[in-house]
Amino acid sequence: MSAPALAPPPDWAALATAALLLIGAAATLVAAVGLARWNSFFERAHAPGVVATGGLFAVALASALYFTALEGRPSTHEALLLLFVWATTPVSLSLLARVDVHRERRAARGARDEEKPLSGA
Amino acid sequence: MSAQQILAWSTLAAQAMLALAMALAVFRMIRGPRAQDRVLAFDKLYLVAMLLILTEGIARGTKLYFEAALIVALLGFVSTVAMARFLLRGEVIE
Repeated sequence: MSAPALAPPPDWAALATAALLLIGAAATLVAAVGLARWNSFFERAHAPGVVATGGLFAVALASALYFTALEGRPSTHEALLLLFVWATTPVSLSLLARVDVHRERRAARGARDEEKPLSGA
Repeated sequence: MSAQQILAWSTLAAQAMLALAMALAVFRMIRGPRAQDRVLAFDKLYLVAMLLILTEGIARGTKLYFEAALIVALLGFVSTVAMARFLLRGEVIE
């Protein structure tokens, strides 16, 4: 582990960063165990949401706190990542849920994969 | 044990937990019975990779890793949407 070029942050900031990092990583690990163990698609679809809310929030807060304490000025660019991921995760997850419904219906109709309509309109 | 040592060890522990989470996502990606399960596992995989890069930036005390995490988030979202649209319509760009 390379030593930072600046003076090390104060003790309270280092301890709070460590706690937030452990909380975020633990939430992510719990979500990953759920992704590996749950049996249906819609149960598994909850796992990336846990990562994007609990895990990312704790880790981004840890990063913002650590660099604010390290450089002595506010570090706010983590908010950019947070806002971007919070805006995009519901989009991709609802799209994947629609994919599951669509493909299950098509499988129930007994259609082969090659026999899809060419255009939706 | 000083606060800096505690931070170093907990960064290492967080990275180990995130790497284990990535391994579980890869397990689901290989095992996943259908295509949408694999795309879902990929979605989680890039989110955890982004967290791992952020943690590495904290461990090394540099902000350079933040841009890499931002690019991983951006490209991961675009590729998830592209794969989901491919599964939905059979083509990506209409």
